[in-house]
Amino acid sequence: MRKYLNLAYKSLYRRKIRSFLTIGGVGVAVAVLVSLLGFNTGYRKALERDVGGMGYQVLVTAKGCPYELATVALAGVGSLRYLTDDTVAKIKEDPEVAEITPTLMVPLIKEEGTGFYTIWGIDLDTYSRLRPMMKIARGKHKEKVIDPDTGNEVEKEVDGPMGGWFKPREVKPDEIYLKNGRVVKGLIVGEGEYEKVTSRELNPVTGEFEETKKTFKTVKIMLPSRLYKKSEVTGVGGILALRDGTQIRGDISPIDDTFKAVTRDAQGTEQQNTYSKEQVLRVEDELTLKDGSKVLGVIMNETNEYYNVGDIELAYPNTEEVSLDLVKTFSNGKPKIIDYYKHFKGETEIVLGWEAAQTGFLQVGQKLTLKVKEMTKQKVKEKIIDPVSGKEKEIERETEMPVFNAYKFKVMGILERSGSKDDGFYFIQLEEAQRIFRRYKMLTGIGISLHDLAKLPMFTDRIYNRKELGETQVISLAEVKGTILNLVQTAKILVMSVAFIAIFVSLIGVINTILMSVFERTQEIGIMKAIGASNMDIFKLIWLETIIICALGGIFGTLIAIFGGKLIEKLIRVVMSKAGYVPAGEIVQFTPQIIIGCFLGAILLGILSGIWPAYRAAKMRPIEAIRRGE
Amino acid sequence: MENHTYAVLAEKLKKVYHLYKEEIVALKGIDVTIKKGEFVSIMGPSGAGKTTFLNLVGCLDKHTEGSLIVLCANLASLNERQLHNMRRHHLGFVFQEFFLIKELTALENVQLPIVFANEYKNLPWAQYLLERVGLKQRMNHQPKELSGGEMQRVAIARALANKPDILLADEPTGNLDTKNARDIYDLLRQLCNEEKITIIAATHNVKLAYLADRVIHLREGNIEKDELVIERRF
Repeated sequence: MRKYLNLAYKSLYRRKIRSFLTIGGVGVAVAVLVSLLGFNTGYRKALERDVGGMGYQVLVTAKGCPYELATVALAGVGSLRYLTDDTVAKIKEDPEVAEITPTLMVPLIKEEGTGFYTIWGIDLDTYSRLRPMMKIARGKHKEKVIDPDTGNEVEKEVDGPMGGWFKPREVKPDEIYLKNGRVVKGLIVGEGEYEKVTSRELNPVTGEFEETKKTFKTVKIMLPSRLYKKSEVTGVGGILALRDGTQIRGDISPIDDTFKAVTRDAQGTEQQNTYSKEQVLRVEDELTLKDGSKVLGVIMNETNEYYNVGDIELAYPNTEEVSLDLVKTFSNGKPKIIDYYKHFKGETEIVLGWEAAQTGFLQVGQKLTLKVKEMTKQKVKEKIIDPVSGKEKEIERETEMPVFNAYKFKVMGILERSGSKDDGFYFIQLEEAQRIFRRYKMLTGIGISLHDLAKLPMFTDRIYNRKELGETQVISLAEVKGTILNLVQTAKILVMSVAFIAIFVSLIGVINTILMSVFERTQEIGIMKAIGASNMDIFKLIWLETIIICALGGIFGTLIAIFGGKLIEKLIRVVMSKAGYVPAGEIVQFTPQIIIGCFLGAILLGILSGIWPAYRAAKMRPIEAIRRGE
Repeated sequence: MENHTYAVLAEKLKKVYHLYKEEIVALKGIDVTIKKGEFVSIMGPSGAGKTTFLNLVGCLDKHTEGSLIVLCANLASLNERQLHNMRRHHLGFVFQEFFLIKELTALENVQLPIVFANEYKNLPWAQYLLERVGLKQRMNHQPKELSGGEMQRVAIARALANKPDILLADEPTGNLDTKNARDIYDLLRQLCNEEKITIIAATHNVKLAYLADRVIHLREGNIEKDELVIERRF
């Protein structure tokens, strides 16, 4: 081969531009192939890591499209549907359930509109048992601590665990199971009693009705609310939601059976309106805090120091009185009355995934404010010219209005890097998530591990047959993986065929280039034969040229793929994040097998495409070749 | 007649080309014998059959009728591989247009036949040949950097690379000026005398033709005249 190498190289070098373009063509085809195979391997691995890292085998969600559910399960975003949290207790009754954990996923749109903060409300106790791989990271790091002497916040270098999980609550909200099947969740804040007439009989002697009264004991349950220091609050406003869908922001004051709303437009001009009770769906207060965040709810009462803001869903009434006769069981065994205000003060504690901490430059002990854009639906009135009648007409249109909000947290801990989606998440207590994001009693998913996974079909059937669970969907994570892999597989077949077309085109390109060069060099080939080159010599020479082109194309393409891999990954992320779920970590991975395989493939391409031109060249009769060249 | 003293033995050698159903008889059955070590000029106007004769002797083409024995081998009976071996080991070619490989240096061009023959031990021979044709200083130059005369010298050196028995030159001076043409012929003469190589050179330059030992005049595919050069006229 050595004797042809110099000749082959020089002949390729003579037609630099053409050779380079052909090498480029092969390179692009190889790059496409390498990237695709890399993506396929990487995506599969990333998906397996994500699914494997879930810890639970079954997920129960509200009914919806399976792909969307799969996406939600693996933590993309979609239109979320909710389950109520009493579903957990009901599913727990099933004998097959080994462990169960309720979760609430809240995707928050970042203020700047690019991307999401994904907040998970979790029940730490059950969640950590189902997902033991979620560990607090260790290592040298900086922490914000309060200096005991000065009382100031200082930064300290610490070696050890990076914080910890949320502090366990001293008191968990009680769950009270009523005989009629209802579950009331809240804090028992007091006891009471009331009398009820059970029978009324006519006394034949006195001629009067005699009433038999019975005293019922009750418990007062308070549903969660939150205290805000008055010094932190810069403004109190209100939102009036009308039955026709419009929202009015401003100062709202109830007067008898009507609400007076004072609103200001952009120029600051005040406008006053009065709405009747019938028009109004609900009234919310809006507290504006010092840091710009807004709190929605209803101010239930206020002291000199605090506003006590209840969530809107609970505002009427914020306490519920339940007769003990109706109670089946208490989750704590017996009613335990607690001092409510003690336990719902301070910041929401948050634990961060590794990447979430890195990208936000966050340290343990630090305060974290997530500024988000929330969309609210609003109906606006618009005047248009009716195309039929030609008269001006007022129509109502529903628009989405962005509302900027900020949520405050205190960083309690940072999780170990897992390489999965978890790294980018924020974890808070389930109850806190339900409260601060106003998703009261709502869950997005219930993770379950079964005693025996083989009994999954029976379990699924039982869940579906229990009508009281409502519209639920049981997804096994194996299925989720299958669904996503199926989609990826389908896409892969399509894209692979494109890659093969690219390879086919480059094959034809190579044949064309070499054949052209053979025809151009007809005379030269004739001369070589005249001065002693055999047919085999000529065949090998031309073949070698083709192989060199393809090998260089292979190297070039692999290099493009490797160095452009990050770019391709970004591209895939952009394209795929619109479609739904993208696994964390590297989704384009180049294994040595892929690189060596594609390089050998390129050489094979050279071997195949070289045969015909080389044969044509070798077959030339010297005298004809010399003459044709003249 | 002992064959081994003859380089070329042609009897009733006929060559017919077919060109668009038309038959062109290039050689009409000529008888030629050329002894080893002889320097023969083939003279004649265009279309006389000079090139055809050289191509037949040079195993680049096959004759139609008659017999052609070159260096004791009957060319009609040789297969493709044997013909190629003849070209590789026993025959050297020099063309009017030099036909050097453009991207190779003078030295590499001369080495090429040696490389094709896998006789790497003979590579230094190429240098000797270039020195021999007077191009010691120009060895590493590419053809485009050489003059016409120099290129033809390289081509002659290349033709001699595998130590051929017969050197076939088809109008070797066609593209050269008188001075250079004379130099080339002198070189051929020298090679014939010193290396004992049989040289068959086609030309239509009368002056140069008579530098050979013998001049064969061809006309329309027939031998018109075959004369020995007794006394060099020029």
